[in-house]
Amino acid sequence: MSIAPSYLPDAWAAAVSAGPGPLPRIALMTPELHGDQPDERALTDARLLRRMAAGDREALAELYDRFSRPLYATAVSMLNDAAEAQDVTHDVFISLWEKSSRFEDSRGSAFTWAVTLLRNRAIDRIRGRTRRMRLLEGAAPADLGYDPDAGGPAADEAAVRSEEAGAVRAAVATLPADQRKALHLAFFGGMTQEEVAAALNQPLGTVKARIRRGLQKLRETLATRP
Amino acid sequence: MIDDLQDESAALYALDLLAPAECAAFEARVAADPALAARVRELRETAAALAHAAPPAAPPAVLRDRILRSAADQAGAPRSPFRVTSFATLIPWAIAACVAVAAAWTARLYEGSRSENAILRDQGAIAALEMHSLRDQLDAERIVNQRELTDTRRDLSVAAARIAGLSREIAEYSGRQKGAASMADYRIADLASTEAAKPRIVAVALWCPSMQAGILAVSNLPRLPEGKQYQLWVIDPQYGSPVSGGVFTVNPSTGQARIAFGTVHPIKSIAKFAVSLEREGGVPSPEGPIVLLSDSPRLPD
Repeated sequence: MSIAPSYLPDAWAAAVSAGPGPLPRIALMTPELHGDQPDERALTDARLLRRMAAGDREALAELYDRFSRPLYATAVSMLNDAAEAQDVTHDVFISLWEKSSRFEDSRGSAFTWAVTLLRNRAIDRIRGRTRRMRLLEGAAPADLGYDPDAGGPAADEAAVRSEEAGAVRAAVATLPADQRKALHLAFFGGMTQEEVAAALNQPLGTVKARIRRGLQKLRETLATRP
Repeated sequence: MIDDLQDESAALYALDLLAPAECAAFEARVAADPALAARVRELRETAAALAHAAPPAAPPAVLRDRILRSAADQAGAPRSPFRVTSFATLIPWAIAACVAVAAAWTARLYEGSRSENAILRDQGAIAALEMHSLRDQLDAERIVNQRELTDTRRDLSVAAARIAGLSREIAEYSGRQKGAASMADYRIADLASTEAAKPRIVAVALWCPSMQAGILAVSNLPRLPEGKQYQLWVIDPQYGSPVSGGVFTVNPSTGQARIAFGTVHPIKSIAKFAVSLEREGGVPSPEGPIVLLSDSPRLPD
């Protein structure tokens, strides 16, 4: 009886089976993470992914209803193109559908996984565009369509956003402008550290410190909300 | 205890800002440090929450239908209890399709051939425009790729010189700290091509269990297809899947590379080394074909 996981290609399964010993778990390049118990929202998301792994398309529809707004809005912010944002959002949900059986909530929440998939795909597209734009020497970076200098959400926006979105936006608004700009370029701009530093015209070390402090303060603010 | 440098790396990692080499080294540290792993998880969750801060944009209603339809059509997707497989359920759709085709045909006859020439002319003009656009795009890609190739060659030579320098420094440092390292501390393995038709490929992996680090040297590896990289794997029987040693590229003209590598998880014993062809940036678990495979590592001669 083979000890290799069934999803591995045959050649890999043979190579792995050549070694003795038990199979305690599937080792991934992503580090195994341990942390606090996920909240109720994360538990619901995890249950939906488990139902998807069993082939339940209604669970996919429910997950779409929970995740689609922030994911699509993030894709639009990163790509500044509705058609591309739809394609990326589509691909992310199909990836979640196909890979749902691999989800382990001990490694992070389903939402974090979905955002990671989305950003990876959006960054691929941004860098593909950048290669073409290099032909146009001196071309200005694309306007991300977002003003990082803006403060918290407008009243009418807040009314239509979920409680979660409102809390995050309020937390972001409490950050100093320099930290907010660095975080937004890093998250929505799909840039490298060096590109963020160049865009802000700041030394790399300064930008790294701003990103660290901004993320830390954001975590503390979100952790203290009721 | 997480120091400032590790905390900064955790924040950059959470936002996918670390370069591939930094990322692999950091993941190795995370795998060995539960406190750092917990910190990474906190920051990743926080970074993901930024998605809620995007300016509001509602997806169009058709996107939901498109996704659910794609999921239903996915070949090899999980089997759904709602999948429509009955032939009887297809009959109304078939009738509707026939009616639609008949209606279209009748309408086409009615319109006659008067507008046909105009439509064909327009289609020809559109096709010509598309052809021009595609040709321009291909030219652009070619120029960009040439520049990137030049840049990559220069980067590779700088990186190779730096790796050699760092290897010397590590050896000197190790010698000062521990005395001269005995070759008995190392394990060596020859990697051979899995294709009998490519015997010219030469690859050797040197692994130091106490340092949890190694060096891989290859030559005559085939040039990489676009969007692909080679990925090194360490097969440790304690794990159910090969453990990544990182991705690498080779000199396109010589097929040579020399990389210093670590692993994502601590290694106790090595059954084999392997190299596979994977998509650019690497994969968590092997997906592509094995290119090189070793026997069990041995003590150096």
